[in-house]
Amino acid sequence: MKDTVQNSGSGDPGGSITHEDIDRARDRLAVARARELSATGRRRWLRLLWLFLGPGVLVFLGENDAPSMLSYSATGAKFGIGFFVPFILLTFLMAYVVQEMTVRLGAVTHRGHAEVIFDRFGRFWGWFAVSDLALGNFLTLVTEFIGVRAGLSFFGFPPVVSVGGAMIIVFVVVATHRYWTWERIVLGLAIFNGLFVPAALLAHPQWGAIGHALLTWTPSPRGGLLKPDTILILVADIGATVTPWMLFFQQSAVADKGLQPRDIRNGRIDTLVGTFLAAAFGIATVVAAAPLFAKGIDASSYQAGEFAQALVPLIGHVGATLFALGIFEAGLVAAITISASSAYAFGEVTKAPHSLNRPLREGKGFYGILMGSVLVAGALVLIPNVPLEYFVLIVNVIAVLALPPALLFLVLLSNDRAVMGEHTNTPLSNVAIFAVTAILVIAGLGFGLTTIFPHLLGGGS
Amino acid sequence: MKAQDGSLTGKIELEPGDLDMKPEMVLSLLEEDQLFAAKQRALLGPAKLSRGTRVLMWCLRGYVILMLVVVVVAIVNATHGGGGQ
Repeated sequence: MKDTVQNSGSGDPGGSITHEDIDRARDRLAVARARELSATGRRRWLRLLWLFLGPGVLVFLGENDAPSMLSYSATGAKFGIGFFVPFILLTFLMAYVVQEMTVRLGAVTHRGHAEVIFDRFGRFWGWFAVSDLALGNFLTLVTEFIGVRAGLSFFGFPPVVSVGGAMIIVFVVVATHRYWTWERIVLGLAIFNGLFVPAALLAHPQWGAIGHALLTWTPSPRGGLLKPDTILILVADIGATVTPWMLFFQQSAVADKGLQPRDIRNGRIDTLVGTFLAAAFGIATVVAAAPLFAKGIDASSYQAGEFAQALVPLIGHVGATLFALGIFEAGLVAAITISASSAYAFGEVTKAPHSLNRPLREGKGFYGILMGSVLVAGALVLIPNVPLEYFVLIVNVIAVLALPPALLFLVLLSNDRAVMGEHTNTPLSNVAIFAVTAILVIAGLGFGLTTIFPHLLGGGS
Repeated sequence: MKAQDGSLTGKIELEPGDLDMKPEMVLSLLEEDQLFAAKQRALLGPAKLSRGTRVLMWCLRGYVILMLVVVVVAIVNATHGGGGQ
């Protein structure tokens, strides 16, 4: 049953208020009430933490997706505990530097990343940015369903059941048409990314070796860092942590959640929590797969289900089960967040309603892109004899290669005083983001050189 | 009255759960440019890009296109059991 009231409020710029605005105001009311609690109380701090956890945790646990966890598994199986453990930690620090800027941009502009790029750089550059995003997102979405299929194949589920079931979960979650509810459900699912931690513990890791690797970055990969297959793993591990969709998703989610400039500190904490959890779970995946390296098993061509099967004799059936469930979760949560990223970007560039607070009937384009991309990607995975392994092989690499232009837009926007006011980058932020961009370009060029000239750097397969 | 974009002009259409959210309260809790209607307007207009920035943007665009070619080469190599993978 519905009712209507006259909108007589003053200060409403367009004379209209939508459900999206009302739901966002409700979230702001919860924040305002939490801030009224005793200023020094732990309860207040915990309440605010609970209210603000969301975009940062989701973007990082979303990026711990199926191809990322397979990349970490391949790292552990191929190189064991050594150089790559601190390297993965470094990639997460790089990701934090990047994502923190999207928090500020979203809180200050109240707009998504694609929308701000279109507004400030025009349609020509805007479409380039969104085209990169759309291609990367679709390929990544396909790999998420490959992960879903592979993870549940360990338990004997046929592909149509596992992929179809995952698609239904995505649709049910968005059908809540409430950002807060969507966010809480996905956070609940995403925490199962932590399944890789008990899987790692069941591998009986040598804590001394992990500590030694973190402090000394050794042992180095056999044959050095310049071997083509080592560079591929390096680039894939970067791509498992820092990708274009993360920029677009977090800024859009921050805007949809309704963060304001005074919430930037809370948004940073959310992002930091996400960084810590994702780094811990990523390193746990390396540790869980490291017994394959210790036993000298060649896992270079393993898919998710094969990793889990290969781990049964090494970490037990329980450990392998947790690993397979973790891969399923990684694919499912990323399918939810990446499809949302595509839908946000579509709505932002077309100026159509683009909020998870919108009822389905008011956000047909937004929900259409979200559900349509999920349907097509899922269906592709169910077609027999499609060479899907190349999607997984290359999707993280494509993410790294497409990132430098996206980072340039991010740097320009976060230094744009007309947009950001007092919240522009500090000199330290700029040094950090330029270092991140340089690492990405060098890694990309290294990948390019070793691909075109495989023997140039003394490597070869 | 409902506009094509789904916004409600002049009136607020309320769900039963919205009864605790009066328009005045919505407007007091949100910043003015957080409202959907305000977001329909352009943010600031186009930024003035220096020549150096435009050159850098084109260079990075060229980098992405070049690297996409490299990715295709890598896939072909992998398909034929060549190098790299």
